[in-house]
Amino acid sequence: MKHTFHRAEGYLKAEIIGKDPEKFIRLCMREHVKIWHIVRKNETTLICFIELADSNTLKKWLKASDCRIRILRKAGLPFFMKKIKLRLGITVGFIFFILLLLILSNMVWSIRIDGADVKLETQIRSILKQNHLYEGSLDLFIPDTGHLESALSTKLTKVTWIGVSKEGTTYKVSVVQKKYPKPKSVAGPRNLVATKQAVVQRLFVETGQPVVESDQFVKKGQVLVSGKIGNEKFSRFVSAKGKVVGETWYHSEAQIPLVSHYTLYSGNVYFKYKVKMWQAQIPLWGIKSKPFKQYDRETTKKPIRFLIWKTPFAFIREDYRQKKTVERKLTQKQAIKDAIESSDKKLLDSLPKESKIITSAVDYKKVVNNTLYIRTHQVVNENIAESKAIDVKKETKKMKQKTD
Amino acid sequence: MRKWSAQFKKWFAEVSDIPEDVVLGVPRLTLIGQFRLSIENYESVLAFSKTELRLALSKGELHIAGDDFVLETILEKEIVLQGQVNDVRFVDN
Repeated sequence: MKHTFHRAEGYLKAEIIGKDPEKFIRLCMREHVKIWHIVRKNETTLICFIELADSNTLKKWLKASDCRIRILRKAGLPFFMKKIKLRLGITVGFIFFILLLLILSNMVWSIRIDGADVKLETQIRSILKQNHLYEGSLDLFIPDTGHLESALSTKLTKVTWIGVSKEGTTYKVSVVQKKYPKPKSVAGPRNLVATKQAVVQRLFVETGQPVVESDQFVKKGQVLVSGKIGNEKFSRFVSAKGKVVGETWYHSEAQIPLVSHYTLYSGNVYFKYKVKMWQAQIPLWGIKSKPFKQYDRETTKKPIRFLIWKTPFAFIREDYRQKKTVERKLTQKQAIKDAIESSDKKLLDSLPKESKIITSAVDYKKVVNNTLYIRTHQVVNENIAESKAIDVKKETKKMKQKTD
Repeated sequence: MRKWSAQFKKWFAEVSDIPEDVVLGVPRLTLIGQFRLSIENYESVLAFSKTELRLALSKGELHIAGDDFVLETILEKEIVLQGQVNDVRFVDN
């Protein structure tokens, strides 16, 4: 017979001592108290297992049967609980110790940054701190490494590549910094030549001999300011310096839909926290199954570790971002204005810094299928001068030939 | 009258396929080898020792003799005895 199920209830192993211990057993039978594995020890004693009953009633039956009881062993859950209560300090200490280990196992112990100078390193650390990643932070609240990488690379302009990886309790940030070439120091004789076809507007010459005049049409590569100064008899070469503003023309084409749909984030975010145990997910915070009508969901899963092991538990955070679809309608006038603005901006981005758009004009426009097709041209004033080295030997040879 | 009802019960048990111990309320003994004996429909334990078990039945007593007896289970209607069973005897008093 198996009696393991009694463990949950609690039972005693006891000696029943008396003249007629069978009477006690009969009483117990009558009162439906379970007794099992009875062995006769000697004439007056029975050893048996007895289900845990109220001690007062047990005493009453013992008196009725004229027996005494000697408890040999106490077993089962109630006694275990009593033991735990007695050793509350140890139990609480043990639980606290396990919790502490669990917390320490899921903490970030160090952040290593490779390949960054001191200034960049402090910058990176401050950005990481904004993303809840610092030494001593809990791993559960840190976004995943891909997220961190994008957060870093959008804010750092001096960096060509940035990689974030996690090794146990250490985060490793590898950085490749941009290395700019040193600006070339101008040395040796130079001409200024045109970078593109243009009409010269103004010349600002610091050194050198201007060769062209205002309102003159120049081709690409044509010398604007010569580095050779002096007359034919006494000439020397200098590095020509200056600015030549030329008028240039650009064409641009654009298509602009008159009706367009956008999805925008409203800024409302709903957070859900869950704990994953093996396959089951238990929600901790946030019960709404669909917090918004339209949303984007982002899930970050953090496995909970214990010392060097991965536990089957994981912490899951779900961000629901509310989305809105917006329809934008443009009149033809607005669309033209938008098109010109955007093409001007595009053009200025591709030109040197001090360029200026003088006029922009619409050459052609047409609306097909709610889309505006537009062609514009812009007149721009920009610096067209570019320095180019003079081959001194060749020039002197030429001059010699001329003088000869 | 009592005798008559006992007779009727016996007859009924024979006619219907219901076991006699259910109908008559007599004990049912199951002996497995020599080491385990289960007795159903007993009244109470009169005496128990390593070598002997005495049970009260609805009519008379049951004396079991043997060695190394252990009362493995006691329930209201059933009792299971373990140990070497040498002798089972019904005693009228």
